[in-house]
Amino acid sequence: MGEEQKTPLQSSLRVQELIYGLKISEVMTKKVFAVSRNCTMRDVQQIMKNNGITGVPVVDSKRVVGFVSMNDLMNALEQGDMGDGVTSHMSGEVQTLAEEMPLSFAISAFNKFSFRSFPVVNKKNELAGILTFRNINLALIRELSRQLREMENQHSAVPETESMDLVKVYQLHRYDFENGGKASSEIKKFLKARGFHAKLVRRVAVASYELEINLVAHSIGGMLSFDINADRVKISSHDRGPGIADVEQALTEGYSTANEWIRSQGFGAGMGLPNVKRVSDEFAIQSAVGMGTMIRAVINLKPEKQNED
Amino acid sequence: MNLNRIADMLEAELVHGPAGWEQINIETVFASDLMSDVLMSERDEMLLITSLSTEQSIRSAGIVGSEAVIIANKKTVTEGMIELAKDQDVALLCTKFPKYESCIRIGRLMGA
Amino acid sequence: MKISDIQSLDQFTCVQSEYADAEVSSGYTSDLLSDVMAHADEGSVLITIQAHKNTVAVSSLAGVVAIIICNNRPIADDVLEAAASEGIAIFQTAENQFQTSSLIAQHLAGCPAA
Repeated sequence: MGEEQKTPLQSSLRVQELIYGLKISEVMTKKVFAVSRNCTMRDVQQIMKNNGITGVPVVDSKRVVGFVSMNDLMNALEQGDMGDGVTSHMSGEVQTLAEEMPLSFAISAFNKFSFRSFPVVNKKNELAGILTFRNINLALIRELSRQLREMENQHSAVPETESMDLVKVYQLHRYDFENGGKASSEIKKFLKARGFHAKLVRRVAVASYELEINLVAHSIGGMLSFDINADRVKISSHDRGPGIADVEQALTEGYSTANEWIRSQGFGAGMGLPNVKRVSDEFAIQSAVGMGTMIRAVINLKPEKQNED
Repeated sequence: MNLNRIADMLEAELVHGPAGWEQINIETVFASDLMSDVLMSERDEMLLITSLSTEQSIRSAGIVGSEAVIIANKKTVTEGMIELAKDQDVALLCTKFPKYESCIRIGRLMGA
Repeated sequence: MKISDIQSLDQFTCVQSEYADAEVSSGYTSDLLSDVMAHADEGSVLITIQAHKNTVAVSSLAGVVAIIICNNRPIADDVLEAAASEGIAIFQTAENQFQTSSLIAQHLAGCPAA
């Protein structure tokens, strides 16, 4: 079954899986050097120099109110304004990231803005850390080597053919309606072959199919991953954008942003995401405009845990 | 209601028929061109009538357990659809009648 | 059968009643607007679940006089407003497209069966 082609593809998928699976909070630097509004540019210069960093957030009672970059510092230096307060040189409009966002959102942000680092905030909107590209690289290297060690350890174990466990990742591309649905067909067959009740298989198939179509019709591309064990099927959908402005609206039946072409393909009637939610035992969605959308749907396989239908 | 009686009524052309397709018993019919609508159904929809002639029609039918798909409006069936119908073990037929007329004809058969 | 005859049937709820009562010539069942555009007859009733503003626009171009939205699909206000300004009646029903098609056909033929 094309095993020989699998290795490079799987490894690039593994990296993608990581950037979707890791949270920003797991990757960022938690020890942040920040300054308050009454500090001077010279204070910032000292902090940068002593700690080898290239940007310092300005905070006011833990909230990020500005950011002083290396560039801002250079400009102040050139103009001989190093004694000035930071507020006259900082950028006031700061793009922050939320710590519970997946790493993929951060990568989109790095692509979209030219900043070298982003302040990260927690749920209370307080400064919680800082994220640089270096953080991302280190985290990926760390995770990949850990996985490599795991794979080496597992190598000797004989795979069970009737095993209930399956981890699989599918890539989906914008407007590629022809391939939307392949993942669902495979997963459906997998579950059917293991003797699950037709109704249960149908729920999994509906959720995964709608998510596939959602990626194809509405995202610029992304991936759908399955993590199956004897207890449950976990389906995760991740895309690189454009992100949903109003998640609640997107979950309202009949609401759709689909264009006429998508409609002509038989989709875009605003039933997709509500449909996924309907058939899932657990459903979670997270989205940020310009960064992407992450959806997780869980369907329990054990009868006592299933929703009545 | 056997599928071959419906096929006769719609003057349908068989594109793919698994062994014994003529005897497939049809009790529920679903007509739609929007696949989420099909997927939203809670019943086992045995026959799907659609004028959406794409692979997605066959996939959606497969997911809700339909045993047969009739493509209305004399639309062209693609090679990919035939492959998929084989893969999903779904009978695939084609009729010149629009969906409205197809529904009425089947409705008459079933109502009578 | 006239548009107002649909209104009198139990299965249908009229949700947009600003229309000039006219004779219904036939039915057309579709969710694909390009098909409606190409094939729906002048004076026909459109049976669909596509409750979208563009459905009204296409219906108006094709000469569809009434739209029946099946499966009790929600209809947004902008759809109703568009239909009111085009004078196209909109009905909602819990029945699906298959059942609705048969029902309308029976009434068009003048023999409302059970």
